[in-house]
Amino acid sequence: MDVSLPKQSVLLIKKSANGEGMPALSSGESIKTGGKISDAEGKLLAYSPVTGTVAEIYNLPRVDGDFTAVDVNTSENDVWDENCRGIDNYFDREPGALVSLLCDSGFALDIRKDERPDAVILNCLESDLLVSINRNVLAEYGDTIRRGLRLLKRISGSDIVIIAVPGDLRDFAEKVAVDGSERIAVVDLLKPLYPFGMKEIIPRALSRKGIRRPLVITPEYLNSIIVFLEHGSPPVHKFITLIDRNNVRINMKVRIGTPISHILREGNIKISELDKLVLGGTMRGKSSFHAEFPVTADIDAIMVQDRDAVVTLGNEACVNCGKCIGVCPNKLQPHLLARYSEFSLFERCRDYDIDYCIECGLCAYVCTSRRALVHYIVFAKKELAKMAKEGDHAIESDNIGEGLACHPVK
Amino acid sequence: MASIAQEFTKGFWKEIPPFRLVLGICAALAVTKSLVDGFGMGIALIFVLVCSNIIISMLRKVIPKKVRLACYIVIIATFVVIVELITQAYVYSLYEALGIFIPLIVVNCIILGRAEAFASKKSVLRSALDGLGIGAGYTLALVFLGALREILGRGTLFAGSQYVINLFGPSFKPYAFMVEAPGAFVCLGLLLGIMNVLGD
Amino acid sequence: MPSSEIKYRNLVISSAPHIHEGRSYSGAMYTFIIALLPAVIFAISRYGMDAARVIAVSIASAMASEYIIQKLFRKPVAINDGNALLMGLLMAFILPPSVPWWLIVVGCFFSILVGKQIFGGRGGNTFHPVLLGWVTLRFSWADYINYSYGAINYTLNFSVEYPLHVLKKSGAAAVSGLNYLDLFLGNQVGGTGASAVLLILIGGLFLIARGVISWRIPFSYLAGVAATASVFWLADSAKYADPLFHIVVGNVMIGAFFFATDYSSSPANKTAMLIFGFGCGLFTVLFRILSNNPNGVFFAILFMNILFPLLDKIRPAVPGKVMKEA
Repeated sequence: MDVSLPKQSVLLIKKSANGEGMPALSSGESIKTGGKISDAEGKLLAYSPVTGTVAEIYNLPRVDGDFTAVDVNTSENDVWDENCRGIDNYFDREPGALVSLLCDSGFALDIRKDERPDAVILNCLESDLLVSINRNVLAEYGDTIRRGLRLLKRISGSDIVIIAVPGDLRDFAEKVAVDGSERIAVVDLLKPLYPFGMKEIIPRALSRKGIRRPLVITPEYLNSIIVFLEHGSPPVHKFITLIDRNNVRINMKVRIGTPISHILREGNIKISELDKLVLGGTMRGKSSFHAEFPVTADIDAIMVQDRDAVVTLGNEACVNCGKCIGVCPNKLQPHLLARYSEFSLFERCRDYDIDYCIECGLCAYVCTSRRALVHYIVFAKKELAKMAKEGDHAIESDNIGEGLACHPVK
Repeated sequence: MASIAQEFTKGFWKEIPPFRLVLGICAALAVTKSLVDGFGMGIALIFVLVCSNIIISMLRKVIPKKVRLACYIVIIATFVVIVELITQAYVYSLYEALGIFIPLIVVNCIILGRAEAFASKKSVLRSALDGLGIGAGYTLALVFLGALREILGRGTLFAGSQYVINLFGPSFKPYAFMVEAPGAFVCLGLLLGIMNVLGD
Repeated sequence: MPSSEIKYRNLVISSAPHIHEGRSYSGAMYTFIIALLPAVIFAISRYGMDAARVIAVSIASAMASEYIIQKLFRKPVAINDGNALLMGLLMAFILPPSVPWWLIVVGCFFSILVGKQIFGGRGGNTFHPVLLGWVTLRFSWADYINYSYGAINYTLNFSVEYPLHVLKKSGAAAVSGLNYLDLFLGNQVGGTGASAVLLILIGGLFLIARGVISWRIPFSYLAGVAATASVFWLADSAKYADPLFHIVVGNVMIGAFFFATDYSSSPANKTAMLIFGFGCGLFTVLFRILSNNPNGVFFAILFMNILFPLLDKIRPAVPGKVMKEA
């Protein structure tokens, strides 16, 4: 389902910690779809997803940080920015130049010259429960993705390309994996289990072992890279799954910047007091305190949870039952991490490998005492980051006399 | 500076050794199987504490700083030997009951602590009152602990003297756990907790 | 539109995840209690009103102690979470049916006060509270909680002497005549409910099937008992009883499934659980054979309770970490 263009669209730009990220725009200025939005020094901040005039610029706090919001009154006929032009013969360009071009254009591709990835993994599993974006993109844009895989194979210099798909998508994956008579990728069928679809976990879930430095990419992202190279259009659309209170799902193609209230209206979902609105899936999504936030590129799903279905996780005492240890995909001790965090022993958290927590949420899902384990762990991580930034040398001094303490290799 | 009366009374509540200062715990746990044992230990400690405080306070300008601990120990040990010989001579049953814990008064933290922290700085009168107050507080605590353990663990009071009272009659089955060593720890721990709740 | 103009809708904010498996602590406690119910019925049918009296007094005093102590400590009263009820039931299970009521009350009060609440209440106890209470009873009134003495007044269709007392007194030859199947079916003297070995085993397997406890501690416990007893038995089968006997008598089953698996006094890491269970089994047999105390289960569990925080330090390597270091 395609969501119509809203009358007013909101562009969110993440603020950096030192207050940068203020776009060089003023009210009344007109912008075009695909146009670059830069700050005063010319650094690329975002692409405009719509055509229209800037109405207002203001601060907007979201659960995960502070953002600068740009309200745009949209005009109905889209005009693409004249700078949006495809790159001819991009496939034959020198790989290093192509990578830096993509990185300069705002794509995050983790390909470094000195440390090439040993495998490219196309992750067609979903990042969260109830989400179904990647499978639809794979089914719909197979040709583009095949071209994308060829390109990735070339620029990453890796011979191994693996398409990780759930079993029922085997046919689509095979179609993508074979280009004419040449096979460019192997298909690995995985059980569609959470959290296999997380990029940290999927290399371990594959049947091929020993992959140390994979380049994991989703079909959606790969698709947008190829569209950018071929047509010059930066990603202005986002695929999302809208999940209503009965867990009925609608897959949508949404213009980035569309306020969630608009999407809910189109999806015929009403939201009332004490319901929960989650930006993201059930296990990892962040709840939002109102529905005027726009869709951003990092939101895979929008979920509305009924007030009766809202789960309360609290701070009851841990009873040491060990359930969280059993489910942790990284074999951490979430109960200890949360306890240390609760009593501000953040350095002990690091001794217990808090940096390897991927915040999948499984520990809190099974917790017997219904503790908000992920919340505690995220809090400890933030405190540790703050301490590291303040140049706190507590880590070194703490090591003395604790011969058994081990710190993750950076 | 605290008044002279305060030097005496602080030992009863504000600085009562086993509960507030958590000093002298070893003896407090070991000899409080009955009220009488606890009382005897307390009296022995008062004697040693007052006498050693007085002597140390008198000599506080004579004792060289570097060897002061050795000097204190010699003074304390003198009085401990006196106590030991007296109990052996006149109250032999108490001497038997207290056993090793009379000689061990020498290294009792309370006495050394008072000598180091108080008697070596203050006048003779204040030191004597301090020793008397702290010692009386310690005796009070030991008597209380001993009474509690004796009542629960044996159902009697003043066992070991000729004034034994059987509190609950012959049908009482004593909670013997309380006179065992673990019972002493539990009892002392609970009392410490209660003292913390009550506050100053 | 700027946030000042947004109509706030009073939506609920919380951290991820937004769903929960659905289980709770009290749910786990009541599952424990359900698992014990068959043995309760068995106990009442065998010892009649005496068993019912012991169980009722025990549960009532445990819950009353919990209520009073939580009120005294100015904590939120949480007697409906089922933990105090479970503690009372377990205390009743390991006492003989003839114990006087005041003994149960003292035991339960001590269990809840010193065993549980002093350590910080739910989740804080380092030792199993009931076993701590039982130890004080054992110190004070050993005759009252002696299983052989406790069974004297009942007409039972089997020997009224506690099998482990027989073993201690008369050696392995005296117990070799016992029918192990009979013992296993519960025809032995012991605790009010704990002697129903088969029903306890079924309850324990039910707990494992429900996912309330892990299989690791109980099965490694049984393995520990079997292994240690086998060593002695193989060394001198005339002097020492065989491993099967050690498993079916004297609270091993209830110890393995219901006492050693107590959440807060047992390890949470998987390897640590196996070591913990095996250690419990090892010390159970060592206490039985080498000490002059015929029963070893409860002391063994208490001893391993001391070690469990240390055992919990044994943790698996983080997979991602290995990947980076290699």
